[in-house]
Amino acid sequence: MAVSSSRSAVRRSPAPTYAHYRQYKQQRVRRNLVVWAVVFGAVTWAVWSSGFGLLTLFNGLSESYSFIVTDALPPKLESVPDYLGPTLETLYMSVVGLVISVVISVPIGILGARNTTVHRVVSYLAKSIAGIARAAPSLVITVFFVAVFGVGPLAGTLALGLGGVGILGKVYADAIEEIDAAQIEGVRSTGASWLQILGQGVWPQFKPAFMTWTQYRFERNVRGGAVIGLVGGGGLGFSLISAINLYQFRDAMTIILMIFVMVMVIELATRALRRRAI
Amino acid sequence: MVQTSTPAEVGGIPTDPQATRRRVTHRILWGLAAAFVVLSVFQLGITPQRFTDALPRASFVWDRMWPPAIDDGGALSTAVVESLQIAIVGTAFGILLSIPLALIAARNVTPFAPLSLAMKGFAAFVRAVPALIWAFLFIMAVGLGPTAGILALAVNSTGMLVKVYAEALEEIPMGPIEALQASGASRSHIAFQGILPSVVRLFIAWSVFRLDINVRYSTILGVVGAGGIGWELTRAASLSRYDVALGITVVIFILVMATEAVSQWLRRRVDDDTAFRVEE
Amino acid sequence: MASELNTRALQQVTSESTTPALLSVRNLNKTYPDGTQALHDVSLDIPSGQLVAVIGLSGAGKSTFMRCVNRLVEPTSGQIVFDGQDVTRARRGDLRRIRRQMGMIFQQFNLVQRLPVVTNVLHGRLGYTSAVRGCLGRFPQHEVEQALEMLAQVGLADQAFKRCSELSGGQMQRVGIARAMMQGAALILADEPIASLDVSSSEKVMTILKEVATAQRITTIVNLHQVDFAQQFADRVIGLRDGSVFCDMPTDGLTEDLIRDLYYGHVPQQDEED
Ligand SMILES: Nc1ncnc2c1ncn2[C@@H]1O[C@H](COP(=O)(O)OP(=O)(O)OP(=O)(O)O)[C@@H](O)[C@H]1O
Ligand SMILES: [Mg+2]
Repeated sequence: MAVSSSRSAVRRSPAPTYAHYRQYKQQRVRRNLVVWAVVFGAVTWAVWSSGFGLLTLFNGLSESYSFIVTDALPPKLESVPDYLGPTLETLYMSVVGLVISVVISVPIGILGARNTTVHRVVSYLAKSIAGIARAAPSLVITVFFVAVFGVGPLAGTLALGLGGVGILGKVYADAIEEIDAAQIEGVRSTGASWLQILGQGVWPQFKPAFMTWTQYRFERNVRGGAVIGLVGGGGLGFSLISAINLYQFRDAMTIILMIFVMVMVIELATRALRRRAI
Repeated sequence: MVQTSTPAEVGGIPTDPQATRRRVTHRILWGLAAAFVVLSVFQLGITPQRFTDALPRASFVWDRMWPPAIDDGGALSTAVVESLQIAIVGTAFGILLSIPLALIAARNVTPFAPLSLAMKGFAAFVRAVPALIWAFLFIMAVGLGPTAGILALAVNSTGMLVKVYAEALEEIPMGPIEALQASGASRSHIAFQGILPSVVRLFIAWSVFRLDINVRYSTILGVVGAGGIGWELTRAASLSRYDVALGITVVIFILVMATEAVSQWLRRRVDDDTAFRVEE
Repeated sequence: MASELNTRALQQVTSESTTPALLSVRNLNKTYPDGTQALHDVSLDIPSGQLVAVIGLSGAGKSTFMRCVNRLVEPTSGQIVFDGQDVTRARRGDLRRIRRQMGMIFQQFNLVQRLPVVTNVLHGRLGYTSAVRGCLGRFPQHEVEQALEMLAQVGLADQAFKRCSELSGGQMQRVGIARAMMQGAALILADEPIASLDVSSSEKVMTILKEVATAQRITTIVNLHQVDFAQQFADRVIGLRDGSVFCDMPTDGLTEDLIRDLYYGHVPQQDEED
């Protein structure tokens, strides 16, 4: 057929043949082989050495199911009022922890972002602090705060606050870096000071990301606040571990359900508030 | 000046009553939020005095923290390995459970529409219960140890993966599928040649991301007794061996960062498609 | 497969003398579940080797008609006979066999973006491929060679191993054509193949379609919005209005008046009043 002759006058590489096709296929297989070998090797090793197979999975799930049905259900609804205090405490912890995170993360974000920092070294330092905080799970931080402040909500609150810096510091810095430079230039050209630039040029563009991530972190805090008590950080987690230590499984189930309800209510509420407040 | 749409503002003063009302609600909400923060601080009993009181204790802990130490290297490496096992096995089974459930949950693939909603609700429930609480449930049911940890991570992963897998499936472009249908391809052909290539990258990216999260969890599951390095950490802390606790924290750091590096490598590997050049 | 080719050869020989239509549509009606009556009693005969342009206003039923032919849309009533086979009554297996003899080309190209060009072309053979081989994407050597040849024919030989997402719109549509040609189809259905392309790509695509139709005697039905392209490339023009055949004639017979009537002489029908 003559269709091609006129069109393909400018052809940089030779027409591919079946050999090329094979070569192409083999290259793809070879590339993926390494990855799949690593993944497959790691999974086989882990499954084999932990002795955890499909059977264990289904046994475990069915045992848990029968345990829940026989020992932990129905939840003791009459003890719900007893746990309202700890529920509120969890909320207080989440809120104060969030404020601590934001107060620390905003400067870290501003100083960490390349376009608003005062010096490259400062930016690097700020980002490193966030990086370290991110690599430390909140529960690990809690262990140290409990050692200093003793068992109770204060340790948990501080751990939540510090734990949030890892994420918020990073995402604030990233969000500020993505800001349109022209608008900052515009404000700067009016002879504004650094603080004025931040207020007039940076904040309006940063605000949406700030709200989104802060809200996200608040939701995480509520979940985190519920478990941080497991290592002595106060709140519902502390009630949960106390109930379990006394083998009061139906109380434990009540608390778990309350955690679930609290998480859901908070998520719905923050979303509704956000739509209203912005 | 010609105002075209709703925000009727003259010289910065809102003239539109609706905008004014929004502004007022806005202020009230922020005021309430601030009040709640103050209330929280009081309710938690956070006073400067508590910090000054804790100073001696803080310096005591601080002194005993340095230099970080490894107490029992053998036990620690076993615990690290156990944490990795929990994370990998938990993720693997989480993925295994999530794929069929996501096929049910995705609106455009589900065999039965009400089932899709039910599955999404189930996933939302699983997600709303934190991983450590799941660990607790499983400890109560199957006893202390890594099995509870693996179960917790597998189940908790399912909550997230079913959601993101289903969303990936729901975003499949229907055009290519229709094109394959029109050329006489069978259903299995369409699944493997039309659907799979469109979702496989997202599936892998999310799964790797979940592995990242699970490694983090696996380091702290031990805190409640579900196996792994977390147990060593609580033990050191309860014995006031803060130097050992710090040493273990450093190991956890390394573990988390190493996983991040590996998962980034995996993700890059998936994303980048080196071009194939035809040569003579 | 061989017998199919034979029947087609036979068809081509006989079509000269007795002109039995390759595609024959009788009293085709389509009413969508929401009550929209998209096709009214459409009857047509299309012989082998013709390039037919279907024109008409947006919403006239062009896509619906085309999709009824390969039953991507289920007709409400009427009969479609393709190459002696009753399309409307075909069960799943038969429908697959019929569909693989009809190539389809789409406005949005509908390629699997993540897969390389050559694999997308090979997809045209899926209707002939066993389940396992097809799922794994293992195609025999002669099909791969044929696919590379098809790509050369549409001028994309050097793009064979690129991901489709890296191509321009015009190139994607040519891949779409190569995929349809790969089926070895007797009929190609093209639903607005150039609506998303610029003028020069459009010309390229239409030229290829025209050459396929004439050189290989593949019957081609093209839904078009651009009347000038229809006049330039088609042998025959069918005008649809409100789901009915408004005019059907050789391209030369299409007058300015007819076109104006088809597009502007639009009397509101009851479905727009209520
Ligand atoms: N899936 C559907 N459900 C209900 N009505 C539909 C559906 N698809 C098409 N229609 C209606 O059927 C009629 C014909 O649509 P069709 O897509 O066939 O027109 P068309 O001629 O291809 O238009 P265009 O040039 O815009 O592509 C229109 O009124 C359309 O709204
Ligand atoms: Mg259309």
